[in-house]
Amino acid sequence: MTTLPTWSVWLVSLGTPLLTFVGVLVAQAISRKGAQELETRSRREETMRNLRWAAELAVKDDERMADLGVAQLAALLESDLLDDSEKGFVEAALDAVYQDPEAEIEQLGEDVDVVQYIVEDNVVITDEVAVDEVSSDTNTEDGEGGHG
Amino acid sequence: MAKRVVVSSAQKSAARAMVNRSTVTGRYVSDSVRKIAHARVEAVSGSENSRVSKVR
Repeated sequence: MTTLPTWSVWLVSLGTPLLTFVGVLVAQAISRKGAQELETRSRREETMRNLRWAAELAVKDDERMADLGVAQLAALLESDLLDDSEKGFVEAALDAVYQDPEAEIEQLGEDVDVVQYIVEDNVVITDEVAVDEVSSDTNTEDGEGGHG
Repeated sequence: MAKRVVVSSAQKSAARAMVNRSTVTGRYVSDSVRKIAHARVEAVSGSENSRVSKVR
């Protein structure tokens, strides 16, 4: 009959569950790291999709769309979602937005006045009511005309 | 007399974002871009037609 020394009995009886526990912890850490990498990758993909969408909006003729696109690009530029190399894409998109006036200013030289127009609505509210009345009157007349 | 270049709000915002970015990265931004970023705002009266189209 084989006998084990006392210390080896203690080592086996305590070491086995301890090693199992450590193994579980290591496996958990590796799994968590993989999940984090997956999350980072999917977030980056989503950010790049947003970048493409914002860049397309920023060069649209519709001023409100363009404003939205530029605001998105500016937000991406300030966020931590992109690293410096990827922010180069955002800068390129922003460059494209003001390319035309930039070239015009460089062509005209120093003596140039750069202006942004803001349209003021100076029509009073009664005009809006008048438009509604006109449209409703027109509908009424049409309706009457149809029945008469 | 200075010649006038009209920029949109998106162009001005984009230029401003680039100027702000240049303060962080130190990247060169041309004077033209700075002029766009600091474009003077001028109010113009909207025509009644444009307002009417919004109402409809």
